[in-house]
Amino acid sequence: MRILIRTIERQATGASVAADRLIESDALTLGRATDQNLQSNDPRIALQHARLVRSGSELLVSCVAPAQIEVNGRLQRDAVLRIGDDILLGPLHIRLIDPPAGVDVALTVEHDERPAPAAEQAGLPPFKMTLAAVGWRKRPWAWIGIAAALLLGLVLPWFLLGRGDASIAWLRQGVLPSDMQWTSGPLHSAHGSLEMECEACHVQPFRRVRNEACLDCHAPALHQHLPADHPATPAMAADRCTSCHVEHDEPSNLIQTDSRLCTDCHAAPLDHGANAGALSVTDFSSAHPDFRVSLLKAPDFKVERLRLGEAKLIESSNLEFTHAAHLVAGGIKAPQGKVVMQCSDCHTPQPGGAAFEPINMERHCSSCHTLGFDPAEPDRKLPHGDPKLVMQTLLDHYSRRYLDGYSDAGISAVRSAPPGASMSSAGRARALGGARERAMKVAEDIFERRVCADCHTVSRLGTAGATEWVVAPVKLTQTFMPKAQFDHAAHATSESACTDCHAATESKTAADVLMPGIAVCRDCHGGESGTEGKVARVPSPCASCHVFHDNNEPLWVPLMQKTLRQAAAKQ
Amino acid sequence: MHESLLDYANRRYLKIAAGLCVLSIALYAWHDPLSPPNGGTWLGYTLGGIGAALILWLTALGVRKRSYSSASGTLRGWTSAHVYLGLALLLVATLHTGFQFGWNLHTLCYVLMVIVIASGVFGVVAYLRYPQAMSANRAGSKPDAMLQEIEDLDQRALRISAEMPRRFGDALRSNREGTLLGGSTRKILGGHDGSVVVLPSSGGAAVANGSQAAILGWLGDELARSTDGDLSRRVGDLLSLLAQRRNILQRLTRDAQIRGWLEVWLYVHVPVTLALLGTLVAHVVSVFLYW
Repeated sequence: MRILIRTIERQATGASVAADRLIESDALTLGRATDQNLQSNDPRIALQHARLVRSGSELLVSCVAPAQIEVNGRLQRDAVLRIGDDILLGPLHIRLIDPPAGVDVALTVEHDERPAPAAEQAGLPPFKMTLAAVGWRKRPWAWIGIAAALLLGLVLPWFLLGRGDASIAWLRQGVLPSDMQWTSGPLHSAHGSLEMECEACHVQPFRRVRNEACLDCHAPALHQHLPADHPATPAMAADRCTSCHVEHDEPSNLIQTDSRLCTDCHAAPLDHGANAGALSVTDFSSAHPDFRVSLLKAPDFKVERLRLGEAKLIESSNLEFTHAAHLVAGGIKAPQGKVVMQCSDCHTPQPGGAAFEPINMERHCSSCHTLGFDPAEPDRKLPHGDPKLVMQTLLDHYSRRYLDGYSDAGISAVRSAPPGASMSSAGRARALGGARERAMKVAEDIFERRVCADCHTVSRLGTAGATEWVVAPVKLTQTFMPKAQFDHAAHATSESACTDCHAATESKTAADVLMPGIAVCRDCHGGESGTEGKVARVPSPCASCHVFHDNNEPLWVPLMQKTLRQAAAKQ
Repeated sequence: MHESLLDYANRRYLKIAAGLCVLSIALYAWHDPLSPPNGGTWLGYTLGGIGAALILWLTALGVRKRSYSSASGTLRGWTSAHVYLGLALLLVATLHTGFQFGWNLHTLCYVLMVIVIASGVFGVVAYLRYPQAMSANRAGSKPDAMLQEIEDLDQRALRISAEMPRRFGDALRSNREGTLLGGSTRKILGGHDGSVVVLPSSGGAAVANGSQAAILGWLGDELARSTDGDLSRRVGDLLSLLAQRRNILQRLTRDAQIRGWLEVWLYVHVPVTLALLGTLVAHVVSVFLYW
């Protein structure tokens, strides 16, 4: 259809000017969008507000929901239009007029610049429709946030730290965050008393914790981690304590057990050149040589280091002994009857259970090996340890008996005297001579055939007139593996625990070294992680057996001395 | 098709951020320090350095977006990188901690960072979802125009009521005065229309009039009661105007609601970012103060 649009503009003088526009279209579109036939920028108008279309003989206006249009004073969405109808759309005042010839629809459009006659002067109340309008703010909170963080988190504790101990102590006791907020994790329980004393270790700001801070309490000697001739000693002496002993970690790792500390060098120890005997070690289960034992060697009992499994090891202690004979399952003959012996009868754990008391004749052997020598007086015992005293005891014993009138068929010089009769001086001399003879016989017997000879290597010195016996000194190896620590108590898992590792029941000579090899340990102990293939074993890093510190002086000893010194200074 | 921030430049920054994450995880899995993993190992310092640099750069978006003359890449590029690298920061910083947390400044710094990132994720989701909903709701109009439309509708309704009994004009004026959009956080974010109106039927008391429900109900009753054809026609006209008013009010309420959700995360994101910056400085300095 052909549509005539007559735009009327009122001028200041009151005169009006009309401008005609003719368009050819199926529909006349009204709206704010620029592609509309009749366009106005008024915000009350939608982009596509309404369309004028012909339907049969009627002209219709239809609005795009939710828009509406006012036709003859009534607000409508769809309406049938007639000539003379007034349409109001925002500021546009549209009137349908009689179409001239050749035109289907004609309308005048007047732009009403005047504000709508206000029936009500009061405007709508102001609405607070944004978060900013209801009081939300970014900037002040941002400033508060950064200022609070810097002030409380850094500046205040730092400032008071610089003002001395009293100031920082005041802050730590108050409610404000102190330098305690800077701790990155708890201290090891051994250092628990320092939890509130940052400055005990962090002596100077921006300086890493120095060894002096550690050695203030810990004696330097305790920190001789390695022997003085160890190739790594100079490097370790120059290192910082805290490069291995790291505090404030969770889980606490103050005591460093990572095997790499050792295997970094011990994988190829010969590189250092210093200790040619050292073998390569990288892991207990897969790459660790068999153990070396320290054996005492008679006659001078010097320590010899020998490796298990390399050759048959012989302990030469000068003791005659067999484990097998003592550990007979059915029991052994003893003065007090049949006795079934246990390992613990002789091997008594030391307090703590790690090591054993030294074997001692009086304590461990003498209940069976009674050192009696005279069946007539079984309670009379020989002293242990000194052959001269033994001789003296024998002489004393037999002199007394013979002077008491004891008759000894084996000794011809001694005859019995009636009880109570006094002995002549010649008789006494005979008795004493007999006693000496008897003592020598018994001595010969005990030193060379039984009693002493049961356990000892005895040699006879001197001539027939002045016979003397010498017992070879006995020294048992007390610690076979001094380079490792082993806790027997932790391994006493069953009745047969001893013989599981030590083949004592089969040992028929004291020369046997009953220390188990590494294979025995590996039955239960794995390497660093423990697992091997699919078998879970006890994880065993180097430090499980090898320790850095000297066990003889506990760590707290120097600390205690320091505390005592401080207490004394205060008094 | 509109290319979202996430798809910018063929997801270049997604690839960069993913690469950073993969590299960090691989290094973390590979490195095996003597002590438990923490911020003080060589990897801890490296990840911490990267994390701190990322935080500073991510914060710089706030500067870059205000500097319209900047030649340092497009703002879209910056924002796309901001999103992806911000997410990568979460991983980098978590690995930096070595999963050691406690009641201390360092963990506070981490927590603030998590809050900033979480609010940022909310912001990204909001920016992907709400603008379309907002356009659909506005349907080409604008809040100012809608308010003007309400003004227009009110004036027309009042003109009509001038030829009607007084109670209608009173009700319309009360309806106008009682119109309340927004006004509180709850109402804005909840999309709640808190309008009230005093109606003859309510006996002088203000009744809730959300979505014009009360006044439309009252006019409906008036229409049902009316026997006067002229009055009925005018009441019908008022109903039509107020139904349109209701429609606009609902759209305005929804518009404020969407806008609220679209910006509410920023009120967390921005201030907490600044608090994070302060805490980060305290964290870095204190770590070396008590080295």
